[in-house]
Amino acid sequence: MNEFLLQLLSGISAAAVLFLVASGFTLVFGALRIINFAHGSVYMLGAFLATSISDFVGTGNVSFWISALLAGFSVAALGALIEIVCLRRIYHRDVAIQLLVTFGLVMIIGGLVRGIWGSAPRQTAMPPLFDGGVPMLGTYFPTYSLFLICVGSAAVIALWLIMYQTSLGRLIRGAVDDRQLLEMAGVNVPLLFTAVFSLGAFFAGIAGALVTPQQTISVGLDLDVIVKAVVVVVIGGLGSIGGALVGSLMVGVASSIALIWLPPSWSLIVVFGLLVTVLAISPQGLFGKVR
Amino acid sequence: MKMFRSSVRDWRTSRSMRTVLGSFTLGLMGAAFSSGIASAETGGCVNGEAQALIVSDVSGRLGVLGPSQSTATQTVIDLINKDGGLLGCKVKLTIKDEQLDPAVAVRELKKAIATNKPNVVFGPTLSSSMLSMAKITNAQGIPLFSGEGGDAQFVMDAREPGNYMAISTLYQDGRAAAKYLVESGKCKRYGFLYPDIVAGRDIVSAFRGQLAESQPDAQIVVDQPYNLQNKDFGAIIQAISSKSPDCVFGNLLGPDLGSVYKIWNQRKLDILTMFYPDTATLKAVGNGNLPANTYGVMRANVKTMAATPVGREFTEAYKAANNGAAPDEWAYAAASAVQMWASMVKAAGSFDYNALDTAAKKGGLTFDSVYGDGVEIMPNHQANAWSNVGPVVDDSELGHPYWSSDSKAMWTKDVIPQPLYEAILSGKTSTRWTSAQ
Repeated sequence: MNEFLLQLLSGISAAAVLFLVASGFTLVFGALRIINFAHGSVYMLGAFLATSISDFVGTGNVSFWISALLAGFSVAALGALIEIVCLRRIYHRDVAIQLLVTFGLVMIIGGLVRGIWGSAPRQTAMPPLFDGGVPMLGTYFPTYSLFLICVGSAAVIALWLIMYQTSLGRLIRGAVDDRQLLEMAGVNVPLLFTAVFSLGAFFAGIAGALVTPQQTISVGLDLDVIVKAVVVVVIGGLGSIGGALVGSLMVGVASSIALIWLPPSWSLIVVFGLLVTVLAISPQGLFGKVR
Repeated sequence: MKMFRSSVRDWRTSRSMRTVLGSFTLGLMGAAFSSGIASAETGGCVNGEAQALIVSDVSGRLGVLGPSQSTATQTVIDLINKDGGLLGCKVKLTIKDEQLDPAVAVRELKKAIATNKPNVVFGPTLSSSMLSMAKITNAQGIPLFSGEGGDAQFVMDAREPGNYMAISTLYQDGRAAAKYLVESGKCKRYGFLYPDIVAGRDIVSAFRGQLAESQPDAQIVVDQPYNLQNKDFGAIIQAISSKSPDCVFGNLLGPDLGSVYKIWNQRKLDILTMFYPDTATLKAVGNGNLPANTYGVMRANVKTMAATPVGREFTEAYKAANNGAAPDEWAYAAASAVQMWASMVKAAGSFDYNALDTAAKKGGLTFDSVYGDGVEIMPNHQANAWSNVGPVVDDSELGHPYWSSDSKAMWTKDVIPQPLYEAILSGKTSTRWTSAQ
């Protein structure tokens, strides 16, 4: 039983990071109707920026927050630039063109990261506050993993507040439902889209920054995370924040619990098996709307 | 038409035509004769230039290895050229990126052969890429020297006349690791954590083989191959620690190993680990951040190799060409491959595929390498090189953790079973390592 509970907790911790990435991805799709493959690249950029910023500001508790937030905001600014320069011109173009452009961004950002930071792995130190483990069920469970669960929960609440308690959220929901109607109502839709894309990038950037104390950072991080994020979002339903939450939990927990009975090399089978099962039952995902 | 045929017949029989044809034929014969002499003198290089190709991972998941390997290969080739080249030929290196993908490795190799057929191929990083590439190089009659991908199959089960291994194999590394841990007396319950690729499965299989011989009562309590795309090791390490192994072995390296060390520290696990701690990862980890009971196995030890006569020369040349950056283990292993090839070319007096094989089969061939002077080349085309096993500790001299001085260099003959070793020395064309498990 202890083994099961600890695996469950590990799974929820992984789901927390996945949710941060997937929520931004689904938010962008819901409002902008663009499948942004460069979302994983933005996550990777956030991770690399955080390592460089922490080289500069140090690795204390306060420095950790500074580097994570700075990385998040820098990536959000880059997101706004990408939306204005690249994506704004292709909203009404064919889906294939949109995919090509975002895939091109994957290549460009990947090349830039390799050019700036090189291929050697990078690490940041664990902030002292979260170092070590909490005694739990006969072992030490990493404090940082518990912290990630808290961050994931805070992100769920923050997104709910943004979406349902602010005028920005009302506009985003309006754009998801009918953007033409929003335009007719006199809303500055291009500005709204820039804000949404920037918000999505911020979540991805923060997620990338937050994994740096627990993972070694290297090129290739982008493709690894985007595959999982796409699975999460398709399971939850494209454009649904609630769906991203449920999808993240399903993927994170299923991959972790499966380790009790299956070797880790089967993790992709578990994840994609889940995807196929959900799509067979509900082709639009668990919370997706039929358009 | 009739007029045309007639004029051609007239031209054929005319004196001037005979002179032209005769001169042309003589010219051709002369050219063929002189090129034959040139060919004999140069052993097959064209226009005084031998073509070398390295295929390694420059931009893939282990992209930290490729640049080291290609830079080291270029460094040794520069040293060869500085000494006048090989058999009178300057050596020119072309670098291709396999992106840690066998399909890409094969595609790049085919493109390179179509463009300018190389006299030798070095690399690649990934063992599966190496086995795929060997099929092509052997069919094309191009010798392939491995300075990294280390499958035992390459020089044993699937051995071809053009396969050469300049370093120890994964089979040897796996057995050396097991032997060391058994002799340490620290392990009874074993666990495995390794990437689910040929290299991972091979090294663990070899480890198990040695364990079955040396410690029959050992228990394997957990066996966790992981998908190479995996980045989150939290759940995997939770699953391993719940089985309470004494020791965990595998060939993790690079970013994966760095992540595992981090979680090991956070969980305060005192389970002994023995992985593949490469310099780049140990640099990233830094002194003071190494989990307790950290051991490593590596086919090239930077400190030891920098101290051999050839290693010193190589290290200085590498640093001079790279703004003072010191070579890492991948660089030394890659250097060994070029040194082995160069020695064999000199011994054979030719770049030719079959000539190299014949020279190796004669036996008694050695080469001066970063491993030391006079490293034996066994009849199965494998350098009799060591695996370095031991504890990894903080190193104030290097500024990051590295092997301590009590690490062991285990040679092929010390590690692999005697019947298999004898079979290799007797020059069996194909020796099945798997049967020795």
